[in-house]
Amino acid sequence: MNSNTYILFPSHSDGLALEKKLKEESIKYTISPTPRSLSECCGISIMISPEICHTVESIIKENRDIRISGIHTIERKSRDWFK
Amino acid sequence: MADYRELWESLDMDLEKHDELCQVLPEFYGDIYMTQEKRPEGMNYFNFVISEIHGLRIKELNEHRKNGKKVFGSFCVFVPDEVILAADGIGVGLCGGSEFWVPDGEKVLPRNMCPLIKASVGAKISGTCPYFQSADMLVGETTCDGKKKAWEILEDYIPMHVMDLPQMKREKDKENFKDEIKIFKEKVEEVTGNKVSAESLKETIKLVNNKRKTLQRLYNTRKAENLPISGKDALLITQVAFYDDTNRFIDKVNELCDELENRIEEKVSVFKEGTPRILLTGTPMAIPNWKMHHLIETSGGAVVCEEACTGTKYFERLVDEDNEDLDSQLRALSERYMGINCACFSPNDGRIDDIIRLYKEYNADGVIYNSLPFCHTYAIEYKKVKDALEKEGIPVIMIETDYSLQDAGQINTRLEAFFEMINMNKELAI
Amino acid sequence: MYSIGIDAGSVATKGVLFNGNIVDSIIIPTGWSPKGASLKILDKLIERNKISRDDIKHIIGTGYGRISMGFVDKTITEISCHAKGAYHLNSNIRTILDIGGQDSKVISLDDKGNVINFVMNDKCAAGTGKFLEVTLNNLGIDVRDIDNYAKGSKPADISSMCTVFAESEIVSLLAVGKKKEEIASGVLYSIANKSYSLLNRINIKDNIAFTGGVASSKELKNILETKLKKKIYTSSNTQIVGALGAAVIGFNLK
Repeated sequence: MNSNTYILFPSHSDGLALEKKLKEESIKYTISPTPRSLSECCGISIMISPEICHTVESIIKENRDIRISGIHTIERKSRDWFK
Repeated sequence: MADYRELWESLDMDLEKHDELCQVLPEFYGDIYMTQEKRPEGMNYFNFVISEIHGLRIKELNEHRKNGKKVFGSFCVFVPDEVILAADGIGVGLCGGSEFWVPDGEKVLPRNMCPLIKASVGAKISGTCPYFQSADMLVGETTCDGKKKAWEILEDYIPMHVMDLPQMKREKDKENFKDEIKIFKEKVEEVTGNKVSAESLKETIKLVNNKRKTLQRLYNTRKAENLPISGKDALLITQVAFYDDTNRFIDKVNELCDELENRIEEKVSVFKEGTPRILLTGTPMAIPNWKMHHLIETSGGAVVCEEACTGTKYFERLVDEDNEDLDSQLRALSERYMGINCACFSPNDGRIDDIIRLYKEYNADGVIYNSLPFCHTYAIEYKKVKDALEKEGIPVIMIETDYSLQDAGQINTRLEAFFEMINMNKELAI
Repeated sequence: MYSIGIDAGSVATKGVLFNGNIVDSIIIPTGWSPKGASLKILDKLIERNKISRDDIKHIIGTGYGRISMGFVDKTITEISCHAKGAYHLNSNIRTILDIGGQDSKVISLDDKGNVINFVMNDKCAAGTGKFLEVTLNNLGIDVRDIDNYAKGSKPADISSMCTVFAESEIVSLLAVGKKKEEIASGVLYSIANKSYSLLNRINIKDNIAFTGGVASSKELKNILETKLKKKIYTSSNTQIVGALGAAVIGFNLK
């Protein structure tokens, strides 16, 4: 399945803290707007490939000060807005 | 996830209607931006800024206001940020770039006018843009008839100050604009309660120049044969420049530029070899108007430069930093701003020189002249630009389009045909 | 060896089988599915010329429906295809006026048949086949019979370029007793005026070709020639010029 994993945070500073860790570990990630289907609040989440989900989960466990509010894997959908 | 609803409520926003906007933006941005391949890692900061567009930055503006400081909203590259910053204020660009606000704008404005003005007015009167709601004062200017008269309507909703921009570039006009900047300075002092001193202005002139230099550095990377960044991403950065925190923006763009310069060394390109390089010229593209760039870059072209307010007009040429007294500083500001070749001036031959120069500097293969509907100054100026470009043997097409999504098919055909023509001519030249 | 060009327009889908010359051509209504129509053309061209798919070097798709043709080797815009097609029919052509169902365009060519400039109408049906169809519908005249009505009639003045406004203008003209013939002639003059201003947006060079479905009207061609004071070339197979150009490009493709 063509899908992406999103890590959601209670605040943007937690997101940036995890970003810093991922950068240190050279893990490929993308900062992304949180998909509406996952949360009603606007704001950032971190998008990773589902294959590396375990690695990232263990990084989150090691860094207890980084708070997250969920990890979700959803199918990648895109629509052409201009067609 | 941070919940900003309380903040929005305190700004007297229409939460229900604003929510419609929040529903669309993540998906719209995701589909247009995140689907690009080989994006630079440094774009993560801009993903962050867009994700938090109605969140973190609004929070920052309102913390600034809680400390008794002021926020000024503007709509044009002629409003001098230096003056606002020197009085410890914050300036944010407010132009509306979405169809979402157009129907509200049409409640008070005629239908047959520029969508940028309709969207900007609509954003204010519908109470759905937290930036408008966070501004203590709006600063308008007299660049076109539409804007000029729209300020009279906006004035009923929020305090306005209008700068009288001369429409010619004679010596007396530069002197006049210097006076206008002085009047603006006094207004800013009155609103903020802070005096603008020669010392503080000297500092902010340097700061804003640094922002310009940073954008110049970014745009220089687009002159490379292998394009390290898409036009769409570069446009986004220029759009964000209008409202982001100046120091943070400078740092983040410089970080990105390090990466892009590395990419140039390593010959990494985000486009395949031989992609026609396009210089886009014309009317401003306010956030989230990414339409032309998206259509160009999904139908076989690459935008290498924008000769527009959201482009070179914003950051080319610096303000002279070597002035110690207010009077000569104001004169230097007027000199720099009056050097912008906006279609509101008559004559405006400098813009033609700019387009030809940029075409060469960025090794472009063709020029796309992009105009919003009902923008008379830019639409009329096409004739002179086209004649000059044809004389130089530079291919050019004009595309007039608004924010709606319906005419994409027809525009695609024109773009594809334009690229076929460019490619055919390139093959013949070999 | 053969090539096939398929041009899926808003009204009709056209196909040409080509081997250096036109072997066969087909025109069918596009209907609701440009993809279905183009596949039908492909099958028909193969079947009725008793050739096999392997005999076809390249299939090229063009026209607004080209994006739905998953089966072609390449898609090329109708602008490049019209240029190639018209140039194949007459290598002296340097300017093309093409009026199709939903758009009109002017293309400027160099002496090798390459596009050097082009302009298209904006997103509006003024001066296109659609304009003709809608306005004639008001008069109860079939598009194909327009010349029979318009020829020799004094043109009624239709000032609206906009299709919707022109429609109501025609209703008013009928109400004051204007003859069908005069209005039909007025409709052609309106299209000619719009085409004339489109032509003047580029450097008009001789010879001029008039292509697309609307070019079937000899009367419109005459009006344009008078306005331009220049001779205009049309072809009996004016509707297939785009498909022909696609086939020519496919034939020359390596």
